[in-house]
Amino acid sequence: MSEPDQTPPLLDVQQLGKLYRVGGWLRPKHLRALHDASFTLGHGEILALVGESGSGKSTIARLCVRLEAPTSGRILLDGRDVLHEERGHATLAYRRRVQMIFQDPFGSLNPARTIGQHLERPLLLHDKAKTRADLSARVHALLDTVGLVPAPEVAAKYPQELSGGQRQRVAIARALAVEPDLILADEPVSMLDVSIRADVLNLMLDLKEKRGISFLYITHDLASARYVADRMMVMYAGHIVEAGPSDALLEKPLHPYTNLLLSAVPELEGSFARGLPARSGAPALVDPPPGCPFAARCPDVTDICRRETPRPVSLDEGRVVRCHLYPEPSRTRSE
Amino acid sequence: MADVPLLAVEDLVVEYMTPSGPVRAVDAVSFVLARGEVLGLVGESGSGKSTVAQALARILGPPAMITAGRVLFEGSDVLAMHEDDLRRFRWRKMSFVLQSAMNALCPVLTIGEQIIDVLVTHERTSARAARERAAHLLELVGIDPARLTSHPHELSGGMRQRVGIALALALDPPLIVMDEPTTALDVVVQHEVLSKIAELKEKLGLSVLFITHDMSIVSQFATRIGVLYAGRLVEMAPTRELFRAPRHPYTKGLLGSFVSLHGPRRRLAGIPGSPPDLRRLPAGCAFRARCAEATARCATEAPVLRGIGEDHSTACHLVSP
Repeated sequence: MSEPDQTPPLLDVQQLGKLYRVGGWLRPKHLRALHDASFTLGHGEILALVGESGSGKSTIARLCVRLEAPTSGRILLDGRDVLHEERGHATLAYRRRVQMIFQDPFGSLNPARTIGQHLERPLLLHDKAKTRADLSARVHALLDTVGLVPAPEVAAKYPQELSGGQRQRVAIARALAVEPDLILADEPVSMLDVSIRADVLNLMLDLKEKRGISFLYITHDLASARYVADRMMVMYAGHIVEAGPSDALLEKPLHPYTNLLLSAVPELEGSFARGLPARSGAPALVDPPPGCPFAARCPDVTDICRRETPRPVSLDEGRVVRCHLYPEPSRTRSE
Repeated sequence: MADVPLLAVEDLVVEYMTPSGPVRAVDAVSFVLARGEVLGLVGESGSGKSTVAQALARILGPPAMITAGRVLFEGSDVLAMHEDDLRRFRWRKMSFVLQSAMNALCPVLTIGEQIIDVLVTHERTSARAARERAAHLLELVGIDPARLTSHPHELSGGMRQRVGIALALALDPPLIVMDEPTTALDVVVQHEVLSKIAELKEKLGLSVLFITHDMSIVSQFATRIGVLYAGRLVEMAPTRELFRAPRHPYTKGLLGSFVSLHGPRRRLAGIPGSPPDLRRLPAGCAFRARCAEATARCATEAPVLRGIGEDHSTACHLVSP
């Protein structure tokens, strides 16, 4: 258990769960947004979190950036239990290390403030600049980093003078202001035009390679997840149903849901004639029945799937799957 | 009548009237859609693709104005139609499925009431015949007719979008215009809706104008594809040809911006810069600022769409026939 020489991963999420109380006051129900989610994210790694709407991927981001508190589970940053050590909201120290970028570059910037003012605020708040000259030098450096040049000119502009792609770069620059180790990016390119997406994805890759920044890249788009991420996790109904190295996972999906998702992705010159291995349908999230959440739609369903929720099973090559088709091996391998 | 195309758009110009003067959102767009064809119109935001769609049935409201061109449906000009004729034309001859169709349903009426309402308003049918037709329409789009008594909130997004398609099919129109019909849906649901559209196209011999920003969707069932940039058609070709041999630098860039699920990982090029501000369009080619191959001529003279091969045309100075 104790391996003192091994450095802990940057982020270590353990059995995270989140229930929301819904329904009436007299008869409360619980919406299970996230159930037993565990994963690690290393320094300088991009991990993709893929899922459809309602799968719980944004919940993971909100919990990790600590906009909300989980119902159960632990979040370790560099091995330290952050929920235990700092109760309530995230402290400045936490936010200095973990930042977030949102989907909507039109809603996340204030139309009454210049781009420069947007970037000055975190710098001042986190004591990153001592003098006026230092402040504007840092603002310009941030804009340079994200490729918004000439920086002094861009700093004087207002958000509405920029395109969607440029605004998303401002959002990234703002996250970079505090020199974080981890950026949670929630669908950062899904509102951008196709020709501009590549720019933002490449910027994430550059920041990872040159600065060692880690990203949790949250998306519904498997192809862009493969493009940026070393590893990916697939979510369904609040469960991480499969995780593994991106290429291996896409070449040979293990979970029936991953297989369904993959066959539904439109590819250039593919065909809709080919059928899907399962139908669409929304899982029950409010007071869910026991068993695997995918059981109702799964082509390979068996009796046990309706009774017991499968537990994550680790397989070779860093792959993890949560499905009764893959029985838990007897404890032979030491990890 | 036989050789008159179902839809012919000629030099269509649509302008938005703004306090600082008219802004040209659609600039001299021309295309033909044959009977039984699925024509894809692809473009990014601001390319004018939705404005084109809405201009076809004159459902554009102010500040947009159609300032030039003709829209010939089976040979007669929609733009010259009287308001009464237009009312009979819409839905019966040309219907729409929009991205927001699933949110366009009335929340307090059942699905059945809404379909029957369309049938009774536009056609003199008995209540019973309308009910039977409504049940048949739901079956066509793959929804259990028992759902006629459901309210919209009881259906999922994908089902509501399919109800939108059923409504578009209600009066058996020869042409359906679909503007991003699956953009708001998750991929599994999207796949189901698209395969339903493909199936209906075969079964009913529908003609479809399919508008989208996503090449991979339209590639799967469009016979031809037109690419719009800053309000102009920059390239048009049969689908296979467009993917095999794109000629316009913008089309090439767009195809190069797609990440693939398989094959080797290569660094994406994307297209540098962003689309031009239509209020301040530069002289010459609108794509010039983002084009790696631009020459002096591109800065002064706007290229026009011209044929460069069989059924393949492009608007670029660099491409010779």
